[in-house]
Amino acid sequence: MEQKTGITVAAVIIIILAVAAAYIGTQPAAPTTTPTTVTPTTTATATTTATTTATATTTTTTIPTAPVQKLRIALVLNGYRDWPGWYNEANQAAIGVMETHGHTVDYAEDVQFADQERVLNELAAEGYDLIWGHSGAFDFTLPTVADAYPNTRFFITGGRLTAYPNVISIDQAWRDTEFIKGALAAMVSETDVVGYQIGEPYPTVLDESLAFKVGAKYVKPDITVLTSTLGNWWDIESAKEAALGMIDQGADVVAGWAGSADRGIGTAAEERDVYYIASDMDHYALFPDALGSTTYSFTPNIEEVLQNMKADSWVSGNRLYGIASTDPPGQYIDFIFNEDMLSASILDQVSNIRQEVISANGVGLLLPTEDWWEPLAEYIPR
Amino acid sequence: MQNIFRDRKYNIPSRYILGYLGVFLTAIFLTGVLIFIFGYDPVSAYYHMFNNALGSTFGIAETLTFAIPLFLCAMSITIAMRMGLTNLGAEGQLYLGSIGATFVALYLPVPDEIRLITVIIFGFVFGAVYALIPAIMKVRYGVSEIFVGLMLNFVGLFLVHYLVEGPWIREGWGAIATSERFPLSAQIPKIIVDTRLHFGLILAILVGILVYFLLKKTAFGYEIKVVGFGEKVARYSGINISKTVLFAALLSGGFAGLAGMIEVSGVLHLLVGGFSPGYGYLAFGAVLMGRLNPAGVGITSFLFAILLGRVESLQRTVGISLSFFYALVAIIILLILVFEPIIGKVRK
Repeated sequence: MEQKTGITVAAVIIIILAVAAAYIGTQPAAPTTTPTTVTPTTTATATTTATTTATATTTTTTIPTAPVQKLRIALVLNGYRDWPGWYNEANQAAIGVMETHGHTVDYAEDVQFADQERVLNELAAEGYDLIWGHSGAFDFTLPTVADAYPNTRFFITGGRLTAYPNVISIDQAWRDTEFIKGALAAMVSETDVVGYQIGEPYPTVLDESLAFKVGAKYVKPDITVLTSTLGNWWDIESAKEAALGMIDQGADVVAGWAGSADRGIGTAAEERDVYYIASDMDHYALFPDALGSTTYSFTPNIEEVLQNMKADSWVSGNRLYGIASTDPPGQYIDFIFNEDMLSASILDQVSNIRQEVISANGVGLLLPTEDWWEPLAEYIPR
Repeated sequence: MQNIFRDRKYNIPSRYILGYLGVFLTAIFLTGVLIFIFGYDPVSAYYHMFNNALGSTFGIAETLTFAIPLFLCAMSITIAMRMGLTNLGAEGQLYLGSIGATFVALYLPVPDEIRLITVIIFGFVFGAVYALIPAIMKVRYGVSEIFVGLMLNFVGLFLVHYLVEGPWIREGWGAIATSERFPLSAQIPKIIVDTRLHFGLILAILVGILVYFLLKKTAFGYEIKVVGFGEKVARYSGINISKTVLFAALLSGGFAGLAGMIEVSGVLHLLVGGFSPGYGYLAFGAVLMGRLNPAGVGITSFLFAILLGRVESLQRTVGISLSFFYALVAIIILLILVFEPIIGKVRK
């Protein structure tokens, strides 16, 4: 009897699979199933040239690099390329590289921390010219591979790895943008309560959260800044619930640094008719009523790396880019304002604060650590 | 009437192995059809899958590295299931083992000469003690070990997160929260240079042999099996059920704890939240396919490692999206499990 049941179940599953397969086979291919390797046939637009001054450059080593016409590049992500924000921005930069230079970019997605060293090893062994790790987590997993493959070039976005002659790492001074975001939130708040939600509580992310708080206090010293930690970067529903909780506590402006889950914050704001400030252009586009957004692009970063390779000179080390790192400012990261949503007075004030950050060459110098940052750091769970 | 003393339930006759092979090939064929319909080359996909896993020293080393914690979790589950319990808490015990190992590696003042062995012992003990919670609740209050174990998985997972994001966080800047790196004296040495394969493999093999002899050759193994056949049978046989359950739970949790210890001490060399890809859950498939036989479970763990250990490389080599391939692997495993009754029929 048991065996008959098993055979029946197996037969039913096979039939279902066959029908599903037949149905799927008749459907047009979805855009998300495009092959991971794309070699464009056209060369296109010129890239923007900007004067660059990284606010911090650590140990650098110059080593010769053989000039290469067409590169094989691997982009390693610990998420998926079409996730809004951080991952999609890298994807867009990669697409730009393919279209502009005709290089090939292959993807390795959802490579979690425990697998990163192995995947980097595989890619290096497969002979990729440049391996791009899109997370600061590669600071921990790349070193042994960088040592083992000295002729392979590595590039980390969001990292601060130094002292490896074949590695360039870049990081963004997010505290610049989050400071402005906090200032804007304080300016428009009528309840004097604002909320900020982060994804995972890494040191760098906690610093962003702190920058938001400092920015708000810069404008209104007595303002209450509610903070919450989601614990991941993708749980939209939980992000929404947390944002609703902050709104229930009086917050009339909610913002955050929650990756793809930022959508939950925007949705909560939309439902309760409070203000929302976005953390990337994907979410800014999704919520037209957002007051503004942090913006960033990895295109200038990867272009700089490619220039290094093309110019037969590879300058390793770490670069830290803030709003003021380029002339004109904001080529790498910036904060933009929604002029349709802000009064002329608020727009003027917050634009001035952005200018202050630029003039001081970064908020870190605008606000001395001993006066501003340390007293507010107590809520960081360390 | 079932003859429990001959223990035929868990034997794997040769015809059964042939049947399984046939089922595996059938499952591969059916999913190959799906791959073809989706516009990919199934031959190329399977070639790359097996070639990635077995086609080089590096590939074999990585496949084994994935199989080690999977096999240890599978041994944990095997012990429990032989006793009639479902250890759904192996994932949490794995995380507790990693906590115990990290504690010794970074904070316990022990001489370097004995640090590694202490790391191993604490990994085992932390996992074992954690497994006692559902076992005691089962024996004392009759609470389902499934629910308690499952809930404790989340406690273990988030306890690791709490530690690495709080008191154990690495000093300085970082885009991910981790503990400090383990000193060399707390790292399991590598077997093959330039790969991640480490001597945890030997430990896993020893555990497999231990479980085999324990279940086959010892009075305690016999007691476990009798308890597994039913409470009444065990009671009439004069077996102290509570003692047997608790001791078996200690072993079961300890093996899962070793899996966690091995991951942090042998592979990562630090503690980080969510490092397991779900070994404690994946191991159930390996255990069921291996019919609770240590040798069979060893083979199926290796098979799972081939299927799952390096899936993302198929993105580059064949162009299959990662999500699609995960679904395919799930279908392969599902088909194999569903075909089990057919194999049983072939046996007869």
